[in-house]
Amino acid sequence: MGLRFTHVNGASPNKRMIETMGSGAGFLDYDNDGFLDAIVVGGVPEQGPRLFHNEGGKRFVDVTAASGIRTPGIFGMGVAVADFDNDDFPDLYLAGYPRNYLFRNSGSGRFRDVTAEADVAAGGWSTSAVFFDYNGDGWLDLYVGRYVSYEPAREPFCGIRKDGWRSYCLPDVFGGISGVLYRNRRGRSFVDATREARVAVPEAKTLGLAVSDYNRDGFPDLFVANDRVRNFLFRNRGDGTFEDRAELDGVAYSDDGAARAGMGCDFADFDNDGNADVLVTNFETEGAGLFRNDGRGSFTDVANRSSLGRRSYLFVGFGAKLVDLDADGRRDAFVVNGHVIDNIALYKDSVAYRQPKLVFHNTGVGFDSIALPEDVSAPSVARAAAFGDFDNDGRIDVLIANNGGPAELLANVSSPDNHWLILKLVGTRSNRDGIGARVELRAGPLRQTHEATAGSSYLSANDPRVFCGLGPRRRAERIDIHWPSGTIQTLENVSANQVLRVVEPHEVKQP
Amino acid sequence: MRRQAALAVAFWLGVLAIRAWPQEELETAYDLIRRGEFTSAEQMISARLKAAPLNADALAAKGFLLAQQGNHTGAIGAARKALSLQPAHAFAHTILALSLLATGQRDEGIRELETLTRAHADNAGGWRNLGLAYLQAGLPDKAVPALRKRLELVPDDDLVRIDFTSALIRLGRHREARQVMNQISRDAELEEKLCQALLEAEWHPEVALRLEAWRNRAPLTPAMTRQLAEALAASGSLAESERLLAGIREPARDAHYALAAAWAQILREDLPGAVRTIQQAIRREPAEARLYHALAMVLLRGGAALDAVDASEQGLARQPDSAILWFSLGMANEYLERHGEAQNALLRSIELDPSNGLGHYVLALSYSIGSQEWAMVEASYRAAMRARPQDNLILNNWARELAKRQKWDEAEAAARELIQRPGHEATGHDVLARAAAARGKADEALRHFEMAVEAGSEDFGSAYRFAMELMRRGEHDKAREQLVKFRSSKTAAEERERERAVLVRLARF
Repeated sequence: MGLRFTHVNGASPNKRMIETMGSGAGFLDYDNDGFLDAIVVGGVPEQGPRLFHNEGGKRFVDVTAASGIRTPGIFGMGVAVADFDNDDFPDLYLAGYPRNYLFRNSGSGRFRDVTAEADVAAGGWSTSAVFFDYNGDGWLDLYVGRYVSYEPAREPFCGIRKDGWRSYCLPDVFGGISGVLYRNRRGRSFVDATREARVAVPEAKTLGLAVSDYNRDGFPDLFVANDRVRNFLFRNRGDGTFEDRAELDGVAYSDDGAARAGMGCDFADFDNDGNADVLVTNFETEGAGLFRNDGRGSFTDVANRSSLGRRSYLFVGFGAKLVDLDADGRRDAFVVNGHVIDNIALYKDSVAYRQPKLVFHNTGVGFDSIALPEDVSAPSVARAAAFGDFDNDGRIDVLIANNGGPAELLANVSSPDNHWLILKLVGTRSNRDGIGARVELRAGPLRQTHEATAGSSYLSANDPRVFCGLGPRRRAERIDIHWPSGTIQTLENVSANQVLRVVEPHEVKQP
Repeated sequence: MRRQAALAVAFWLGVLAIRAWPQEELETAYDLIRRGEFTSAEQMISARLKAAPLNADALAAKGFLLAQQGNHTGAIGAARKALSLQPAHAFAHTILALSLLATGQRDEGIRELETLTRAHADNAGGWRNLGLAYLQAGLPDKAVPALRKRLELVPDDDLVRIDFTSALIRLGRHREARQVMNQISRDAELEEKLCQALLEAEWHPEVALRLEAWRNRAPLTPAMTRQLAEALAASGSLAESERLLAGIREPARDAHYALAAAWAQILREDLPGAVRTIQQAIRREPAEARLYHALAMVLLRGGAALDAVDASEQGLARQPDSAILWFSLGMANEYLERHGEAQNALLRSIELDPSNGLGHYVLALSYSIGSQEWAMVEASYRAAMRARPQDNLILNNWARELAKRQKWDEAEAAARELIQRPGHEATGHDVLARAAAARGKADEALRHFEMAVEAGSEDFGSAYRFAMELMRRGEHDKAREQLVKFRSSKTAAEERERERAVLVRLARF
């Protein structure tokens, strides 16, 4: 397909921790031609990111040189995509160590580095980043997660003092560092709102991020997955501030009250009850967490009630998403794995460095592990996973960034029997991408709730369009779109199997 | 005519072949074997078998001879042949059973002994062998009636009385054990054996009591001094233990002494001292498996698990069939989270000594963490609980394991047993609460969570789960209060350390 990229992590005998965390990947339609392009983040500073143009869903062409995207001096980590200046073209935020870059998309295929004027370099070791409009002003704000307080020159010795046994350190040996919340000033620049919004938590060791209005109060909330530190659930109070509800609402820890090694995460409604649930991947012997939202402000970890918890138990999970892979109307789970210690085989004989991808089919009563074809399931050291339908065939594909290895683009070739609908939202009173819009769909007995989001799980940016699997149904009888501006838009009798562009009406229409 | 003559010859040859071996001659053959005069015994048996190849007594004697020579496979063949000729041949059953046991065919061996004792209820040797086989198989509940039967038939067998005591202690029947012990003759050698059995059953206070009483009447032997020192150290009287050990002089400073001295040093948290003591003892007795095992356990306590692996492997190079060394190798590998290697070593250890309940337990932990294979986890836990029915730690973790896997019926049963055991009520209530919560019995869940927290659960997840249950019921203030307690009590790192500490706690010798 032409998407050739091999990540260079700079693996060294000094076992610098940053070498093992991988880099990100994302989908974006930077030229608005209707097909998702791809960006893959490089590892060592010399490598840099690569932008690939999608030629009609058939192949990808490397257009990095012409794009003007360069990130000198940083070890690449995450990518976030959104139209932060509401000019119709998706912009790029590239996170890394020891600083980050923001690129404004000119619309002509060129990007311009606006980091300095936007004042969003952050500093330190940034990981995942996500755009969302937390204050509802129609401009997308930016949250940047940071991992640990880190200086490669002061990397301690970890592992056993024996030839070949030095290992990458776990985050416990480093201090935490708060993420940064940037408030968007009408697309021109950003202001650091971390303190005023009450999301400054110095013990944070953030790897994954996910956004959803989980309590349906009209304000987007933020889930933060931390490594060996409790997770955060920043509930948006609607007044420009947040309250961390993770402990009280039950997503901070495992069922045993232990802080796990949170990596990738997603915030989506897997049981079609209208409430966004949380999926978090963790370290080996911890198992993934699947927190079911009861709609009354409480979550319960139900991962162990199906094969999701058991099957993920022996792996180090990173990128993950609740995504309807077979368009049957229920979100399945896709998880990529890979250990962080490259010589782990010296220490443990039941754990491998390269690990398989896991796919769990949502049966409606639980998750069943699915065996992938051999060429797809081959173990790798996977980190980021970006999801999107790059060939617009109604099946969500996956772009995987492997640490120190080639990127993989997995084309979804599941049975095309089921019907689907893709909504490309265009905000007018809301932010241009419609990020944060809640979509309620009804098709026969099927009820679904979706939210337009801009990523990010672990270091990744997903297709911002809303994908709805309809199963055998050929149309959706009714779709209600709750725009962030408060506008509610209703579509009726929408035919299946199309990418539908939906523009937010200027006038408020009552349901 | 010729055919009739041939048949007659065959008949008489058959009669000759099965003709009984005179008792006196048979006893002589047995005596020769017992005395180790194998060549003479073999000549005698061969001559008999030449004359009467289908003689069951001679075949059984041949089996006995082969078994004594270490050829258990040959012994099994001879005994089976004897039994095919004379199915009720008690001695052939015994030889077959003991050889099956010796070749690791434990279940078959036990079945053979069960057959023997069913057919010959007055066979005292059969009951003893059956009782010991049960005990070695980690089935003390079955050993008790077999050994009792033996004692009914041979009331003055004090050695069996010691085994009987051991079985009763493992079942937690300490009062009965004490009654049985009181019938054992006050003989120094027997007392040493009894105290060793009590130490192995971890009944340290009883050893201290017995030997203090002995000391009032007669001097302690070096072995008894070492045993008393060990018992006192384990009971907390460290200074007195060290004083006793200091009184032991060469050449009585044997492996037993080194083990007791090292244990006292461990209790003083002098791990380097313990390592030195054991290494010195290894130089004196380089083939003593217990010393390598102890060295591995001391190193494991100090977190030097790789060195513990080395120590175990060094010992196994000299004693490849030592169950305790395979156990220490398994423990050290499990500590290193090399679950596959740990499981292989522990399986070998259990194969050699199925009564090692801790071996089954560590294997269960390894399967639980390393492979998630429920069938193996369950089988290992059940074997561990059979071998150590009174071990609270095993029952405690079994209940937690069942809860983790949401096997609520069994989890509840284990939890109800736990709440009867002092010091373990908290886990019992926590598991009952989780089971109730899973079944939607919110009030019952809350009640048990509250009791778990009040009982001071070691599992800090109880406090968290309690808080979550309060949240679900909308009791937000109480939930917040509980979360504050939870937060101040533990961290995740401590929880991980707690899991490892379980292995370190088991690292005894």
